[in-house]
Amino acid sequence: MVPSRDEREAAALFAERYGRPGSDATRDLERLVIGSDFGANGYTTMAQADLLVERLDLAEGKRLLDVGSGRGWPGLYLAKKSGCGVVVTDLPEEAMRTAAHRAGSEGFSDRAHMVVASARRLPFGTATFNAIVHTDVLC
Amino acid sequence: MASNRDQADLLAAAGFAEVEEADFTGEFLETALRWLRFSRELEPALRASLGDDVADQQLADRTEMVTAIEEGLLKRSLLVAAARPRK
Repeated sequence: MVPSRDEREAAALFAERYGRPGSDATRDLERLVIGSDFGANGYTTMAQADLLVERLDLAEGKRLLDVGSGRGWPGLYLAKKSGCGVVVTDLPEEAMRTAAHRAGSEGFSDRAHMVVASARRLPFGTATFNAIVHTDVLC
Repeated sequence: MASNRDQADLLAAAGFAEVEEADFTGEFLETALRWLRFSRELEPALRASLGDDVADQQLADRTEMVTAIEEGLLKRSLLVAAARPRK
């Protein structure tokens, strides 16, 4: 399916943003602001992510979908904390590569999967996930 | 998710039930202020790693975000909903 103009423009913007490697300064900034170091630049704090684990009843054996995850925040963190499986999705391939690298370095790549996809056309069947989260997604 | 439609209505239209909404606008503003404050504190290091153009744009974006929240143009909510039981 051909991406819409909005999707092409968003992909170009995000490719520029997510293609830029993180630095000590950007990681320090993220830690100071939201308490994470996943390359996030949104408004979901670590405390709010912890609340999501509880409200979504995430646990080992459950499967979470994070729509518009960027480099993997908060989906990868939710999987790390709860033991659940996670699929993170977003348009920029660079962001998904970063997320894959992070899941590998954290030791849970066996239950973390990355899918380049538009939130408007997710390639998943009905009832695939126990929970779905999306935060700070531009629409 | 940015939208001018009621979020709870959107969830209901998408087939979700038991929609609960909690306002997080206060925390949203606090976080936006922290992005701005610490971006300024780390500005030299951020400029060195991001370049002036990107650093300037990010500061402008952060400032604009704070203004938009303070003026009531943006709010943030946590919405939790359950899928309707399948027949």
